[in-house]
Amino acid sequence: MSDLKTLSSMPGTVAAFQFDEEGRLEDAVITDDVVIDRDTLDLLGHLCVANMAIGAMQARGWEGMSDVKGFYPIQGFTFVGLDWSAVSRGRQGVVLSNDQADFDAAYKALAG
Amino acid sequence: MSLVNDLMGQPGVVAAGDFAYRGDQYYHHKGDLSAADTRLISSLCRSNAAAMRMEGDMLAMFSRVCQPGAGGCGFVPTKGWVMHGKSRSVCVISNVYCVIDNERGSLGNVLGMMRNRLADAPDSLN
Amino acid sequence: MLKQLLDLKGVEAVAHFREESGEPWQVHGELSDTDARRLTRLALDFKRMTQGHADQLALFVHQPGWTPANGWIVHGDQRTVCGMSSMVAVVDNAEANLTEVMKALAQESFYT
Repeated sequence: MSDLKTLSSMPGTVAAFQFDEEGRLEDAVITDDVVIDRDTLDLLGHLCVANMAIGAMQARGWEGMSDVKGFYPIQGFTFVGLDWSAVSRGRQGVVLSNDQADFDAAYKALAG
Repeated sequence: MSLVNDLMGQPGVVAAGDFAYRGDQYYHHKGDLSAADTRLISSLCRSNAAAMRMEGDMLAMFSRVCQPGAGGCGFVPTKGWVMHGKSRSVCVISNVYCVIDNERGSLGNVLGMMRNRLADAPDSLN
Repeated sequence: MLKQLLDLKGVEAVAHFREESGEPWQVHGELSDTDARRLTRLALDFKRMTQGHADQLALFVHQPGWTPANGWIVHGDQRTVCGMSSMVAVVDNAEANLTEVMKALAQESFYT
């Protein structure tokens, strides 16, 4: 697990958060509470878990019926909004401003 | 579609293409996926676009910071998603997808190009 | 008549929505205008998502009979939401018979 405080210090990051297997918010460091709150992070945690489950189903199905490989197991999910994005990996995530987002760095940092 | 060609020119991009929001249709595709796999990925992308749209709608409805009175939240309308697989990932913005090799590709470059070129895409699921 | 679904045991609200926008077309039951709009918007979203998943399942398993997806049910703790075509119903788990509700929604959508 990565340290939420370290994650939240990446450029353009407004929050780093941790959720349980259902997506419920467990812990969060919010650096800009004007744009994000704990309730929204709780919803985003559920969103990430839901989409990783959908992705796992798709990767499982696809790899089972064709020669395409390399997706399963799904390790993370990123939601790209109009101005903000949520990058998740395992049970942690960060919320980034799209203008300043470094998606690679965020995803790597979430590896712990 | 020039964006699909340009994405294929990026390091680590294995395949790229587009998909229709209705039916299992696609118009452009490049890369080493079979016809069946291309149909499958366009169907998969359409399905996830619908899921993301629903989740964006939920954020708009249920998150306090997403209410118009709070100035909107910047998560809606949803623009896209990335499914991070073990060694490959699928990136989608609007109705264009891109499969990248995690070791060789850069998510930032690919997403940056897609977001930039598709900033004004209508994104209507109808 | 859609309104007659309210006569079924446990049905608290029913709505018919526009396919293209998710806007309510008809709403019956104890729902505020805002909640009715939320319900129908999410019902349209859920319908599209389910259709997409059913299409993929059909591709993965090579088995006829899954598509086109007809409906969906989200089972909550005390209440359940049922969708069929462009109809949606909210029911009380303790009272409602889901088979009866789904059949009634299917019949209603057939004649609409």
